[in-house]
Amino acid sequence: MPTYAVDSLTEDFVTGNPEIGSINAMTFGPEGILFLGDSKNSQVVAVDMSSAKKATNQKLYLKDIEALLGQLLGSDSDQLQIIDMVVNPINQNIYLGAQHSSGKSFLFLVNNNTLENVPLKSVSFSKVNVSNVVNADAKDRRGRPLRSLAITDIQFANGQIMVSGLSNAEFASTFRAIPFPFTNKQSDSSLEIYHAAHGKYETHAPIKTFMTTTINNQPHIIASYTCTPLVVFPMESLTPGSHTKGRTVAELGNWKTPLDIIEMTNNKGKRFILMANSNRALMKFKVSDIESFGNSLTTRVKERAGTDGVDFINLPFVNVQQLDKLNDKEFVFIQRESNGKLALKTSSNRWL
Amino acid sequence: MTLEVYSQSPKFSFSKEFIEVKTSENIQEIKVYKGSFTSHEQLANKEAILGDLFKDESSLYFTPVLPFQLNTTYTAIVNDSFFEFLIPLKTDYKKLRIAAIYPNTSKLPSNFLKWYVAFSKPVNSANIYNHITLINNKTKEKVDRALLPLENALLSNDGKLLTLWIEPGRQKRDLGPNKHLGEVLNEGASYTLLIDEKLKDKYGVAMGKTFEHSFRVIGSDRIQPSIKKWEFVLPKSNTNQPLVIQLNDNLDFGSLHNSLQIINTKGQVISGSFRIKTNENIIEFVPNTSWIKGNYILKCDKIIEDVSGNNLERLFDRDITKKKTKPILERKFSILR
Repeated sequence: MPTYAVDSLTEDFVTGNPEIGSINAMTFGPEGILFLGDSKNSQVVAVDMSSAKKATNQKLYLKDIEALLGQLLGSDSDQLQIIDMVVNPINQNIYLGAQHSSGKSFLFLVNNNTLENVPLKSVSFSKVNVSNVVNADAKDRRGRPLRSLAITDIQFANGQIMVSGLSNAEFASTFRAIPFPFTNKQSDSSLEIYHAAHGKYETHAPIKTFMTTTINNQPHIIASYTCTPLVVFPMESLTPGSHTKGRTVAELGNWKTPLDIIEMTNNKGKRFILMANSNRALMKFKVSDIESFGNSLTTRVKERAGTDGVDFINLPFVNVQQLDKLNDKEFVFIQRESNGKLALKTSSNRWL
Repeated sequence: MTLEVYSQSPKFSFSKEFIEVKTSENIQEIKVYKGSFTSHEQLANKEAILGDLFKDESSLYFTPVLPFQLNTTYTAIVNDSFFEFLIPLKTDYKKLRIAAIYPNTSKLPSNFLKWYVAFSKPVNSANIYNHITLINNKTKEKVDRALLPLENALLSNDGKLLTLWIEPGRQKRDLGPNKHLGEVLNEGASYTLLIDEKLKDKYGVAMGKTFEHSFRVIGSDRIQPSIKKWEFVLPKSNTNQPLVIQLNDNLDFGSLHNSLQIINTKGQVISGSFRIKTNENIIEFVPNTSWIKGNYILKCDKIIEDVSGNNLERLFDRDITKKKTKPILERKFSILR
């Protein structure tokens, strides 16, 4: 197959309406390209945001995002939900994806200490279909459109966009890596992931949130499952059709649903993983602990006070629902405060 | 429909989709706020609703990014004139209700995995799991961490079918939550699945009536389902009678969709439609054209599972020390009469 030199990642982009049905997960790739995971229209859309202006915020603090969204959209705030928050690493612009009960999704930029609607009807974009992420061998074409895929997370690394999904009909884990720029020929990989770190039993398990990083100098994926284990697997295992067993490095206790996971570095250059969960504090792991934790894929993890595996520290931020790296020193997060309000704020790596 | 509320100049009218201001004055702006306001001072810390302005010879129009919500007060401001308006809820408005729940059996195994809740109309998916609880009938208390909450609700594309997972980490043998908290459902106990009346439809109208579904828990189900148990009630040839398949098992509603196919001996797919009736333990297949005498094969996808997540290929939590067996995925049947 001939290879073509691609001058720019956006060379094949077209301007128009990408027809986004829903925004379910977002991530930034290189060159200010925003990737949107759209479960409703079963697609991943890459939008060129490189020419977007840099936001100006005197202080990054929105004290009641739900009330603000309710005002801007003229809707009761309980008809609205913030689905994801991402930062463009090039200019630190913060974007929120919000969904209204009508099924309409909105993209907002945090600007001038409020939320600014970012229209997506005429943008420079490229997109790829992910409809067969959940594969049924025998299809009843007249069947009700029941089976759907909920995209749980997307990330970009090493020239590919990775998508994790959860089916509404079976507890299968689907994980797909799609080369970018998107081509007509899809050479993506669909993986099923088992976790077998518990000795006797293995089950399929969907990924809730994941991130890419280097572990022992090799590109890896750190994934967190709906049923709490934190699992690491090498990116090179993403070969078409393969079944990969991830290495469980921790079980995150009993009362958590993982929400977001990021990597930060402290002032001394030490790397940390921060993870937001439902019900509990923000958790901090040392990357070096994950690197040194066991080798076997199926080693039974040791018990440690209700949680197993690598150690973590709880940071004094509870009920963090969204989390992203703002810059080398700060992270931005959305937190349900004790007054019940949902606030957007920042903190720094002095906690690391 | 456009309702007119004020007849003074400027003339203001509204519908769900837009506001129109007819005026001879040169107005440039319509601002709309959710709520009731009478002065600019009250709006100091409020944001106006996002929308588009459009102008023609006689009128200025404002189209909000979302249609105006029913039964909600809004204030439109044109220069210094304040117009309050509300789209009333029709008296015959059909409120959201729960049309069906799968499975609806009064007994469920302790390792039961998921319900499908069918709504009468598209439901508000925002934070939907906050409206759903599992109550222990004896203690009358909520069972903590019983259901799996997801930011992106597992809702079918038509917005009417919600998948509700029992916390899988607690239902899988040997995982941390299972070891520390045990299974969500205890054998012998009774529970009620409760969907509260405040749950709204996609237009923001609350259900108004709490839904309750009670059931008792029996022992766990760790037997793989098998299509060998299925019994065929055969249709007659030259008719469009349904082929009825008695499942003799409590199978999962969702996993049967798009998982079945009937072919003839030439390998051609028989077009028609499957009706999945797991609450009656049957599946029906109605062909588009009359049945022809002959031999047929029903092909099944290995992902078909029972209500505890055990599928045709494996148990939900498979014991890796035991040998795998090849799943049976085809059943033959003949229409002779």
